[in-house]
Amino acid sequence: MDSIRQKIRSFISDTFFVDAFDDSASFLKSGTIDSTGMMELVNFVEQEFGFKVADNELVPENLDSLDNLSQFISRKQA
Amino acid sequence: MASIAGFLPSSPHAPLSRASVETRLSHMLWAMAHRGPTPRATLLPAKLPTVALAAGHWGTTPALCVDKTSRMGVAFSGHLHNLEALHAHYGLAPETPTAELVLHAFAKEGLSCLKHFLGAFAFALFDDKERLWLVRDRLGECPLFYAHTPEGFAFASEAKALFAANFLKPKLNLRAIAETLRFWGPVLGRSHFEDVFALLPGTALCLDKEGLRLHRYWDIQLSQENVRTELSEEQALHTLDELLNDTLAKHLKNPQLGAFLSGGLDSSLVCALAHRQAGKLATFSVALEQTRFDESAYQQRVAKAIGTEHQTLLVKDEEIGALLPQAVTHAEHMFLRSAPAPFLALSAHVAKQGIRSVLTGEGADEFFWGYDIYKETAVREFWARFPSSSFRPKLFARLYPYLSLSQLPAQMLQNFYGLGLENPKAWDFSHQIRWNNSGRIARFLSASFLEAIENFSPEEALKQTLPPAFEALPPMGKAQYLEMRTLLQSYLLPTQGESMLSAHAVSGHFPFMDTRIVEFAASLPRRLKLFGLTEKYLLRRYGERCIPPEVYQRPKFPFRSPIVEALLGKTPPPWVERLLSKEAIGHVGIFDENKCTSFLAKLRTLLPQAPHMAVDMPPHKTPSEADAMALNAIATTQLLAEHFILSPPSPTPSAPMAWV
Repeated sequence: MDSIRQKIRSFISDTFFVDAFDDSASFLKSGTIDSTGMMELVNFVEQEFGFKVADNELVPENLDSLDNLSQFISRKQA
Repeated sequence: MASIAGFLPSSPHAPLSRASVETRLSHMLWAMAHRGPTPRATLLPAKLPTVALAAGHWGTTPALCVDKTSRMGVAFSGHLHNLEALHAHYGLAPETPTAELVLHAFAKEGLSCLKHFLGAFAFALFDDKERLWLVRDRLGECPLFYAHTPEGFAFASEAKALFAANFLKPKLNLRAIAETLRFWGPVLGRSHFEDVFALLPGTALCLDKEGLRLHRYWDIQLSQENVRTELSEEQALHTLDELLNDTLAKHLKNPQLGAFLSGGLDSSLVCALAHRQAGKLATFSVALEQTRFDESAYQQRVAKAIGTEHQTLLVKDEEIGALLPQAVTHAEHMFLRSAPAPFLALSAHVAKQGIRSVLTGEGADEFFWGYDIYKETAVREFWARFPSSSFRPKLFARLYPYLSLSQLPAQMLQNFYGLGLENPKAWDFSHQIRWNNSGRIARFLSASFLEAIENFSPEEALKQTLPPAFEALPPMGKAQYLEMRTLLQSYLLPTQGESMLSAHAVSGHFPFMDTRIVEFAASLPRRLKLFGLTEKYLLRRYGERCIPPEVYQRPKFPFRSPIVEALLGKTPPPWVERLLSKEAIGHVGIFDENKCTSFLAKLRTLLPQAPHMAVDMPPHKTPSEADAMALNAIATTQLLAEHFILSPPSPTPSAPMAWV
């Protein structure tokens, strides 16, 4: 779980050049990632963790914070 | 078209020697020789204190006028387009030069003469009560900068003139940079340089023994009481027709006049009406290599339909990169988009054809509600009334068909566009999302920059400049006021409207910015501007009379030009390697060199090897709009630092000064 979180955190820092963001903050609401950036993030998750994100899974509860996204990935991998 | 400059020494007791003044004034006017190469100057009055006034003009009509009896003088730049009426009102001969007319009008009526002036102008006037006045037109079409320096008060049409004459040493204004990264331009009044101020639009500055005072003589009235709710579409179309034709008749009196035709609704209307009145018209367009930005198909169709003599200038990606340094130097501004560069190319092109004045559609989007920000605000307002609706936010996907948003499901859009939804009355309700998007560029700023500006908030700075009446405006009125103050007056006019044209001594004529039309648009009921989600409704209806249907029905397509391809493409301009290297970015110190270096590397991997970016590339494989804007902001800041701070030009002598 922590390594998932760490991987996403470094991807976001390196790709979107953000230094600090809260684990629970919405990426979109806080302005950390914009709408195009969300597609970039989904693409990374699919490649890195080896599963496809279905259209009906593209919801804030799965994707729109570090907490939500790491939990979503753990569930998919379980 | 002219340049104006001058100064008032800080010590009223020291007489100015003509020789020392001449050096100063010459250096100022030489730095702006593109605006008018023939310099004239005067010292007023004969007794102390003395003020030095100068102007450089084109052609045979001096922009400086002195009345030897009253010892009043004026340096005038720009144009008044109701000259005929003004000559009649003041009982002057029809051939009276504009500067003389302004001096006469001011002597007779003081500041109230301004209510009769229609046009784009900036002037400096020394009156018989020993007051120095600086005045700028209502919407800020013509520029004017000033500075308090140890040696006195100095002013000029361009900030570079103040540096050329050594009044002060240029230093980048970090607050202006922080503001530009959010609003696209500094808050009105600020320039990109420390201690250099831009005179506010619609404002007269008065400097005398008592000190400096600002009088705001005009501002747009957007309150609900001002709206003529009962106005029918027919009546509105009739008035619009009268006003547009009248203002065009006035602009058409300029010899050597042409028009820019973008292929959109506004410039097409201007060209169609101008062509109808004049019988013939030369029109000019920019074509771009990247098909996703190019509008030449529409331009050709309009030109053919209305029958103008049309020329298209293809501006290649690499030319945009090569022209950016010159664009930054002329605009004295960093920018988030590269559009000033193709405008500079077009301005050079028309100047070569002997065109001295151009008509454009500038202003229509702000005053008749063409920009997406109005639709976005309307949708957000509609959604805010029922925040849990899942249907209402879906309207956003319809709003931005040219962005990749539609691929994002509604719930995600909700998080993105729902910002500040709980308070539609907030002063910045309309612009929060846009400013947040641009504001992301701030994450590239260096630690030392952030330390230097401490907790500076661009939003607070902007808020403090808003007039008391702003608070009571409805959300759409607030949206328009902010759009006018930020996008139009701090970005478009200074970077692509005026400065790119004046770089080649072409003067811009913007019929939609005629005050009468601006006030008419402000009085229109909302349904005639935004009808459902149809923007610029009244102008579209009007377009049915004179332009092809595919143009008046066409959704707003913002003018954009390539950035990533222009700067990092196959043939990058030589300055990119010099100024975007890790060392150069670190040396200027505004942006973080490590972040910028990895960012540039990321963008380079996104650029495909093929010369044209494939249209069907998935959005996450192409540089995003936000990335492109960040790149342009970083590059133009580096250019601004190089040209003004690191290696400023030395004065290049042009014509000798003539004294009056």
